[in-house]
Amino acid sequence: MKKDIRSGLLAVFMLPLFLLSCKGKPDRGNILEYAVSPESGMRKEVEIDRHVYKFQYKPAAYMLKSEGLSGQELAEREKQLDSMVWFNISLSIKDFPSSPLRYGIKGIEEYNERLDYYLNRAAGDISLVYGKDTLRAYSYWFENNQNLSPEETIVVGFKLKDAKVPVKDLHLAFYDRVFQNGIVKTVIRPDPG
Amino acid sequence: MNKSEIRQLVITLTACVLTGITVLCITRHANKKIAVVDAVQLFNAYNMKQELEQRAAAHLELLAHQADSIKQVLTVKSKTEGVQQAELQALVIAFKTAQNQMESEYQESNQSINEQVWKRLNPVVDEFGKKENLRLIIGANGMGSVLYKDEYYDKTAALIEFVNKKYEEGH
Repeated sequence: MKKDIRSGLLAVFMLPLFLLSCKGKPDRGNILEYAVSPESGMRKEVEIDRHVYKFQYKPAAYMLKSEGLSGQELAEREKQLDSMVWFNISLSIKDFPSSPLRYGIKGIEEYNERLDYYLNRAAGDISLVYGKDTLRAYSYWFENNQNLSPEETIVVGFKLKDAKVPVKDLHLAFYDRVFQNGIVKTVIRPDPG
Repeated sequence: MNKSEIRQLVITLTACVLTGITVLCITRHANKKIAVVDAVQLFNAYNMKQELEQRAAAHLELLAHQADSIKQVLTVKSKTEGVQQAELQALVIAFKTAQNQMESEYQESNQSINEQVWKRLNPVVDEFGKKENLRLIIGANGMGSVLYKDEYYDKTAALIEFVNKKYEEGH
């Protein structure tokens, strides 16, 4: 009986260790899973006074896989992605269940001003330093989620000057004029090895 | 005193000196719980402050040029014969308005930069204090809050390096 109890206890203690070891590292072959994992270095998060900025680098392989194209469409899309560097920048407020655009607003005018900023002007406040080049947004759009989620997402693309694929560190900067948090920066290593 | 006694004495003295040095080092290390930081230097050396000022400068320069242009026109017209008094009056008002706008925007910009910089610096200074096991960081500002500090307690350079690294790497 004692032996059974001991074996049972041992199993209880060993189970979490076993589960942890099974979890392991994300599979580099599965780019959709790998790119969003913290280990990849392609996803960074900066928190300033409850404002959370999530930066997700989307390499071409990630975009092609997520779009699920094939044949001619895939080949054309591959060409379009040449020299392009894409990011998602997500904004949210910690412990705030609605869209960050609604956080602390006094009225609809303020909401509309914020929306107008993210739709039309924020692109001018995002830059990418790649090597010696400071790049401005080549393509930009703001995914307004109509308050369906507590997170808003900016999709921004930059065109590299002399490279088809980034190999050096990507220094992304966003000066969010709505929340006055100063300039938020992050460094993403496109291929951490 | 024979050789053996001399050797014993030397060993005892060496042990005393070593113990003294060790105690001194430990005491000195244990006291290293307070740091003094030049707050003005920290603020001015923060990369984000400099970048925000550069961004604001372009707009403020434009406003200054506008005010200068009106002033030039006003100077020329005031020396020209036959210019109506009403026209000059309108230019004076335009110049004063441009100048007031420039001053007000300059002040707003300064205040905004100040708030944004301290909003970012404060949590990083806390982090630095915890990392360095400090109990207190005194912010000297040249206004007499700190009258004297031993260089040993001055952590300004280390803190500037720390905050700028955090800013550039986005932690």
